[in-house]
Amino acid sequence: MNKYITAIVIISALLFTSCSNNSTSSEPTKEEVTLIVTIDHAFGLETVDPEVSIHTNTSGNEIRFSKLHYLLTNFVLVNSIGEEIVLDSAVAYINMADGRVTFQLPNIPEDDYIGLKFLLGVDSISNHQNPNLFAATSPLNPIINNLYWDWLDGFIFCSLEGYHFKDGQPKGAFAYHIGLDENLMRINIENKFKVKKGTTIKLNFDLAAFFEYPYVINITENAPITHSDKAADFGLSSKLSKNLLNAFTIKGDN
Amino acid sequence: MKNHLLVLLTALVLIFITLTSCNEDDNTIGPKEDFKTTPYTLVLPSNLPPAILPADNPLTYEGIALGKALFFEKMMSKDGTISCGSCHNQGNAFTDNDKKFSEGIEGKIGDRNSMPIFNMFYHTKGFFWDGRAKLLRDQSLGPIENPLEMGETLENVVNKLQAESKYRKLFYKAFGDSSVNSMKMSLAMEQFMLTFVSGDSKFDKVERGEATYTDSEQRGKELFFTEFETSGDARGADCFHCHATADFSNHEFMNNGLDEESEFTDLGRAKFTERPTDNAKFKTPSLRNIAVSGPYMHDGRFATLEEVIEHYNSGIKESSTLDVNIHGIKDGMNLTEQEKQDLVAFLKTLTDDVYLTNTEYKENN
Repeated sequence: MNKYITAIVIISALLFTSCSNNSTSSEPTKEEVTLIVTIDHAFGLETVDPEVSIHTNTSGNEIRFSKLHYLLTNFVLVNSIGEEIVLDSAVAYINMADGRVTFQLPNIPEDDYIGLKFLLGVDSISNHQNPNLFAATSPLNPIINNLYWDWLDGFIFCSLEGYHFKDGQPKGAFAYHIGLDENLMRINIENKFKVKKGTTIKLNFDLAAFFEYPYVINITENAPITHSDKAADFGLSSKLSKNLLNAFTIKGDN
Repeated sequence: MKNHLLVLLTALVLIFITLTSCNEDDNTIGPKEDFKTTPYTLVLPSNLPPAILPADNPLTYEGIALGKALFFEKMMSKDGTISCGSCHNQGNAFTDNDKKFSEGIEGKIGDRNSMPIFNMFYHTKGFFWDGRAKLLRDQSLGPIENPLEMGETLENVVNKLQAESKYRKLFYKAFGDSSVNSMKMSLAMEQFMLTFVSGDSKFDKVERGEATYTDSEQRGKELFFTEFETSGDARGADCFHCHATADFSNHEFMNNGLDEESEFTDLGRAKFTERPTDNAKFKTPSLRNIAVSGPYMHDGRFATLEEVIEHYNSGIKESSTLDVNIHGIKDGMNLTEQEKQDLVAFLKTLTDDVYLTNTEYKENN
């Protein structure tokens, strides 16, 4: 009789302890990986070859781009159930002509995502801090990016330069240097993508976006140069910053 | 029998001597386990951005000492008359004694103006006027084999240095190995040149609140840092667009309108990249210490700062590779005489006597 009672007690104890294990969540922890991001620069469907290829916008400007460089910060990934992975210290400096077009986003949980958000530019706090305090190899070190203007007390967020032609004849040069806190561009890309170990995400920056929507920009009819001096650029930098909200898409992942 | 024994004995003695020789000069296998160097900490004034130093060549006192010895070593040249220091004089910010072109071995004359050496840790895009040397260490070897400069071969220089006990010891102290090779030479010279810091000019002192400008210098500074197409009554000379950052250079390669297309004689960066879109592009020099490092431009064509300012004010020549930012001023800026003087006054505030006389950069006597 005692043997049977002992056996029942032992078996019951085992059942209770194993039950307590089963009552916790069975969802496995998602591994965090480093996401590699590469940016292709195109003009519509045409690949941009800096200083070489010529592209025509809807205003008929024939454009040869010489330089495009910009800062991307404050990345946010949105997963399929709406949770946000915020990477507020991730920063990238992209320079098309130099081929500096790849960066990494660390500590991303493997998952299915439906959106990617980031700033084209720098938030107002970082924008006005002492730039010498950034680390030597930080993308925000003014020596690295050549995008900091003392007179602006902040960064140029996106700088585009090039030459334009009409019927093959040179018409001059243009330079769009977009800065100022009020021109900070919040990019929101809604697209599905998966993140797994070894994933590379390809973004596309469509340079045609500078010139098209919502504002049509004709280089010969607007000022060819803006340095975001509001009093001098007839609102050009503001219009460009709105147009660039449409510039980025996700091309797909590996 | 006795002769055989004598020969055997001699051979054994020689072998014994060779094996037991403890002269550190003969150690060519690699650093001994107890080999140590002394780290050197580069200190920059508070108003400068942090230095971008090579992770694979940390600064050490011993590396710097070797680099200094090599910098002033005339054995680097074919006829023993020219060292780096022959054409890079500290009092001229390490340019060449107000010369357009430098004189190399056998009286040969160079084809580009001697470049200054300071704040090299900010130069991320290449060295020489055309950027053909990716790293500072690559640049340091270039003049050795240039027939207009030192006219020697790297192999000969290595052999000459290897033969000197002084250098075997310096190489051992720096690298734990007394064998000389061009890689170690370049790393040591890179270390020495990376120690040249310029951040104590009047401009820097004003930035740090330690000095104030004269009225003319202040006006010159405002002209320097204001765009030409600016608003209201402000006047701008647009200099900062290319002479940007705390180092007064974007360190990039640009055509600043010196010549029309048909006048190009030196294609600059295109000579190296072979891309016509790089024709007549040259590295933007830093304007620090500019008052003492003339003459100016890649070919030293302008003797004075006034001539340089006049070039930008009224002398821009158009070509297909003229930089976009120079396009903006190519029709002339109409600077007044006072404005030109003010700009010169400001440029003179970039002269750094601390750097120009720092004994750390001088040849050891």
